[in-house]
Amino acid sequence: MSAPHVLVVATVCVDASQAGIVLSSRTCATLQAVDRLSPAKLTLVFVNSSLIPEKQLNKQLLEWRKADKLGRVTDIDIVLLTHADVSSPNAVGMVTSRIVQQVNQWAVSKQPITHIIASATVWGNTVLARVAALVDVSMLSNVTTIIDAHTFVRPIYEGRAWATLSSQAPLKVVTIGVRCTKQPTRLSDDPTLTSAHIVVAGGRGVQSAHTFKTLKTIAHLLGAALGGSSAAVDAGFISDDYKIGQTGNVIAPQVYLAVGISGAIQHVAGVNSSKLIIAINSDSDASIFNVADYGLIGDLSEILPVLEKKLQERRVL
Amino acid sequence: MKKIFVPIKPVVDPRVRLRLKPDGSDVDVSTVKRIMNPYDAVALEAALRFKEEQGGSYNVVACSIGDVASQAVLRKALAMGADQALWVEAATSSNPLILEPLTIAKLLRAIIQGDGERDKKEKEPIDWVFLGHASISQTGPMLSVLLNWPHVVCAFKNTSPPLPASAVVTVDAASNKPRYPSLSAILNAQHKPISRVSVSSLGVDSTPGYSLQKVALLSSRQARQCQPLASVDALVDLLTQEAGVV
Repeated sequence: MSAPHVLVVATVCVDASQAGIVLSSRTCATLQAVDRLSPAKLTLVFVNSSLIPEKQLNKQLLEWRKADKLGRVTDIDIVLLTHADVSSPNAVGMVTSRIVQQVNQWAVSKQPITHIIASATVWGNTVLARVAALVDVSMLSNVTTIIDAHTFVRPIYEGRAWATLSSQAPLKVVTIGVRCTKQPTRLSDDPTLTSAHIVVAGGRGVQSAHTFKTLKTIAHLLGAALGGSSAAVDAGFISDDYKIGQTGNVIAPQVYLAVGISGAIQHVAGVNSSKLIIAINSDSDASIFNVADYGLIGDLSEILPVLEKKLQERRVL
Repeated sequence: MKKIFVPIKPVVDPRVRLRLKPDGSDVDVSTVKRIMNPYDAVALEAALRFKEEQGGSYNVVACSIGDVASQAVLRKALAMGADQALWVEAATSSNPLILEPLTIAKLLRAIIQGDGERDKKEKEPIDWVFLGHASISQTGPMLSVLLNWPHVVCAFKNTSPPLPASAVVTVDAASNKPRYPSLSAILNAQHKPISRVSVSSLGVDSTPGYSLQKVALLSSRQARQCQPLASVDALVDLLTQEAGVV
């Protein structure tokens, strides 16, 4: 079989510090994983490319290649979906049909598309599930390791086991989970989620961005890495890169402090190997207490400021 | 009569410890307890509340594809208040993984379109499909494409949102807390009929796209005994002493 032709769904974002356009961190991570396939050809579908002026594209590509963001592949095609505002409900349908169009277009060529790959975000999974149904191919979501062009590893049973799966189908549809990839770029000097001695994470119970900020200070005082449950990510308190759970980072710190996290199975799958789990929650029935070693029940808006103050005091001592 | 169709999957109870088969080829699910997928329970609860809000002329149809474990989750759905139950019998008792999301979506389409040998009454048109929503779920978006129906992701908070005619609705997991059926409802559900249709009569190719090469268990630990902390001070002490992090 000839070398793979991989279609990757990519997103870009504006980098405030460099006043330029960068590939989103999840896209970078996915491209790194795709490099394992040693693709002969890469088709990059930019879904929110209204950010990139078309004239600058070649310069931009050159920069990304220099920064080793695109892997070893040299033959790269670009598809710009300029009108796709990822957040609009119409975008999913539009992106889906453009991807299928690409597949059909290349099907009659010498280099038919062999893999359609996106990051395993809610959006990426939704789009590729639709694509998979349209091209009538089974989809693998949240793949954590690409072994070769036909073989992939993904979590099963809420992350309690890993399955190695293979298929000889000529076209594969795959989304890439965070664990497949290296850590996202670090936030200043804070320890990374998967290497930290202590991890602090917030969930839906944190309720406001302001309270989440308090949590950030607490994490800082403890020298801990900060993460969030998928509910916190959905609420916009913290970016997808810092999600803890089956579809995010799987962590195993010495101490895990879960704040306002109810303890959904998918979350617990990502923290199960922590040495000591401490949970703070207002709901005494929250299932996080089933997996925690210690629990504190109470109103977060009262507990967190007090905790912050006490930690500050210890610091001074 | 409007119909809300709620597919429900039996899943391995998240609290049980997984074991591999003696030959290590797969997880041994033959003896472990299976329960209603918690995400699907939220979708069923949303459907029941939607019906109660709208009053009268709504029917909630619970459907489950699989082996005998499907029958048990359908009994629970009936106890919670589903009006009808449909068991799509699949002889895949050895491993539920064999039914891939694409296959499930195709089977659901066939049922919704009225395929298979069933009573005429069972083939009445469906208005909405309510599904659980997890970030990795594929079935909802796949089914919406196959049926050519819109796919909407909804949070059902205090009241239900307005829904387009004929839609696949994935229900946000935080929408509600599924009800506990009363003892009398559980007992009554034992006598309610569950209609059956076999996978083979639906004319769907259920050959999996992927074959399982290997399974490895994540090293897990014993269930923990949670000790309550009395105050923030106790928490700070714990962080200082046990964890040595302050």
